Amino acid sequence: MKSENVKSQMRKGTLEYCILLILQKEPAYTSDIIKKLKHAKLIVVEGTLYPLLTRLKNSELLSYQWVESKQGPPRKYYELTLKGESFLNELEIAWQELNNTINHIKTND
Amino acid sequence: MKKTLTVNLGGVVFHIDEDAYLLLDNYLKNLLFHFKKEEGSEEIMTDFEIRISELFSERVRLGHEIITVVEVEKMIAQMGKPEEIFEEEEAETGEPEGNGSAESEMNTKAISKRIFRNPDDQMLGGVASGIAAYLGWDVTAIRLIMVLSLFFYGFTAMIYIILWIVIPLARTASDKLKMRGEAISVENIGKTVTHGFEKETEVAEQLSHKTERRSGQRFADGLVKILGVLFKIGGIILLVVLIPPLLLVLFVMVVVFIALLASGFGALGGIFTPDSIFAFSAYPHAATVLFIISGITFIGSIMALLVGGYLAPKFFHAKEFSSTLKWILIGLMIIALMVNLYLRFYYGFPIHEIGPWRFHPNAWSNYSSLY
Repeated sequence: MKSENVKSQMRKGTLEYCILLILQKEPAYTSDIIKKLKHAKLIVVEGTLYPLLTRLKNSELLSYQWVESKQGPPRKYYELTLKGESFLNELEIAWQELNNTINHIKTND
Repeated sequence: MKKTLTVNLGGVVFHIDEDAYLLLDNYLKNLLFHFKKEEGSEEIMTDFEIRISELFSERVRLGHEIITVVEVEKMIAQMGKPEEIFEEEEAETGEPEGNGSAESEMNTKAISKRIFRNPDDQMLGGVASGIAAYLGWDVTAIRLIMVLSLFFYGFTAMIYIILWIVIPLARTASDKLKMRGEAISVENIGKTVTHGFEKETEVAEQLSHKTERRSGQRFADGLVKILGVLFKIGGIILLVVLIPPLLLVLFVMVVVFIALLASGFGALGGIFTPDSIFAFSAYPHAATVLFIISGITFIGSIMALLVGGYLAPKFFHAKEFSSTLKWILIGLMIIALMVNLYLRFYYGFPIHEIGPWRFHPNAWSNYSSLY
């Protein structure tokens, strides 16, 4: 049992939740999402994100539009769908519960 | 001086070095290989291309007009090697890590090796290196044995040609893994593909740096190729010509073997039932032998079918007989039965000696004469 494995499992478990959280505030380009996730050290390599976003889109949690850009080709601009918002609410509750449980264990030692 | 190519990546045109192009192409193919099972794989690949195009555009803006291996490597480091991406993916699908590695270990053990000709390491047809990979021996040792054994009547040349024709070439990455007996996982295929790429660049470097070697090498390559084709054609002709006599020899050997067995049985039968010798002596000699042979062949082919087609695979996990072999045995069985029955009714052989039917046509007359 390596601590690295457990840590990366934790990060991966929260990845979808974090993506939805980022997009809840405001729609964003893929590169912006990457930047934020990288800053939070949630992902190490960018390649992980593309299949994940496509999967979320295929599950109708996200939608996107193509937006023209001055520097290059059009870029994908992702936003949360209604279904995505209710999904996020569920995750929010689950996260709260998890948080409470952990705090509970910590304090009632 | 280096040759550059023009590529369209996510709708933007880039000039890219030849070797950098190879690396990029390999990278994208590797990704595609992994994602192709998934719904929306095209979209994922487009996303990758667009992002790569963004990263390259940034470099071009900074004054690096040409995309070189350095740029591609930097891009791969940022996007992640296929292994890194897939590792994270796997963990994400919820497989506990310990379980997964145990499973893959089992896969590696359970994977069955298959023999292939190795296209990455070949002198003629890649037979020697294929055998080496299969047996886990050193290629040079096998080549040495092959060449040395040529001095003994050139027998190996024929074997080599036959092997060349019979053994398939390892065309895909998964073939190459099977050849070495490694598990067919995405990581391994990635390794194989990148490995192949390394080799390609090596060759490319050799070609570009040592021009004087290049023409000689090309000539030798061409010669070997022509020689290979000629060998193959010659081998096929030889085989076609040789098959009928070989089959005949085999048939004669089988017949002699069975005859020997039969005579042994006959002698045994003679010991236990002295009457039978007298019984047989009344018939033509050749007919007697044929009768015994057909009887044994009939029983033998049924037993072989039973053992090889059913019992051995079921209880000993042996490989089942091929359908060709089964048909041959069935044919043999029918022919033997027909010959046996013909002789039986034509000459009226006593059935209780040898043969599948324990029925004695003369018995009836014997009994009837009693009363």
